[in-house]
Amino acid sequence: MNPERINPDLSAAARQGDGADDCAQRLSALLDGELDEQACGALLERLRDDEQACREWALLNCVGDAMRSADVACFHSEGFAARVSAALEREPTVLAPAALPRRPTARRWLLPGAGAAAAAAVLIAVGLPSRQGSSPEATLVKASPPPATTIAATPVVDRSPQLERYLAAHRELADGTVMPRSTPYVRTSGAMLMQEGR
Amino acid sequence: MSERDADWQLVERVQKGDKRAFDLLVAKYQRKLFRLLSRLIRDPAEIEDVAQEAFIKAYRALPGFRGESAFYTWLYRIAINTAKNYLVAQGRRVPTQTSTEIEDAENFDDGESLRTEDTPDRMLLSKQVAEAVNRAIERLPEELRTAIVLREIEGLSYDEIAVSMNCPIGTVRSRIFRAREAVAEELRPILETSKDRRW
Repeated sequence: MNPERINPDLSAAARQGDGADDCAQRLSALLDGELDEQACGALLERLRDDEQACREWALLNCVGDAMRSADVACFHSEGFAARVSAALEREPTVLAPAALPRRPTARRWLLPGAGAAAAAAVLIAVGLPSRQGSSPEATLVKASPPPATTIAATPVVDRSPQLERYLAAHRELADGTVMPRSTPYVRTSGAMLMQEGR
Repeated sequence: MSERDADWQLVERVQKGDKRAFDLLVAKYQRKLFRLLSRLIRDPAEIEDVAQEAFIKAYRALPGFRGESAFYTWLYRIAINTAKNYLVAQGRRVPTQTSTEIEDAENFDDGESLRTEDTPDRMLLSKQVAEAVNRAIERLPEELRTAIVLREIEGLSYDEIAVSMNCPIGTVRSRIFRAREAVAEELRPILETSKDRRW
């Protein structure tokens, strides 16, 4: 954080006592994403009851729009934001799970390298256990994506008992699997019992 | 800090339960959304209704937004879908040319890429706004003009502007604010005159 950014150490009382000009300058910095988290929170708190500051925010945004395109600035509508705000009051407050961090933006020039790295990781994860005899559990941990992604991406497959028997037999015969040999049988038996309602 | 990072700061606050932060995003993007929707819907009152619905949908969906795209790109897609659903529900024809623009939303440019159905009133207002901005920018001292252009047109961060102009970052912040105030002073009478009519 740059030390010259808006000072986050100001007390709440001092912020409340700030003049309109200082508030507008903070809004300008917030608009540019140059306000730290604490100062941003204090400013939002102030905006809650400060209609003048809300109008200032709208106008500062309009300045940017007008500089980039006069056509966009023409669509200024004074009462719209207030109407949406009133409608939002009737909405339940949304909360995002804390475990979902921002997904970083992958630059295009990194993508080919990332693809190759992913392919190499898969090869290592699949190839190493049969060649080196490492533990299956350790390999699974290495190959697993983050839990949130796994939950979202794993489709639910409705398999018939015949297909399960076929897959179980195939797995029993196949070599180099990272799963213990009894696991497919246990899973298939469990699935069959559940389907039969036992 | 990029536009995307600036928005993300507000998005994160909304995701933590701060509705006020979403109001700021509404105030920031309402004009761009209106212009976008004006390509699909002609009536200004209907545009505002659809825009409001799109913002509410975006608010409800925000917990699942993880910043894979820019906030506006995400909002843009919600708005397009909301408008299409609205037109279908009304039994009206949905313009087809928007599909490619949705795909290209990441590179969305609000310069000339959108061709709105301009009314004479809107064209006049646009001309007045452009003249007011030019007038204000011409009157600015050079250091304020450079700072605001580097920020608003070139999209440079305060750090980058400070390096470019060889001045402290606090000075950059002050110059940008003063320049914005000067442009706002020129714009205010035009926008306040037009506030009672829906563009």
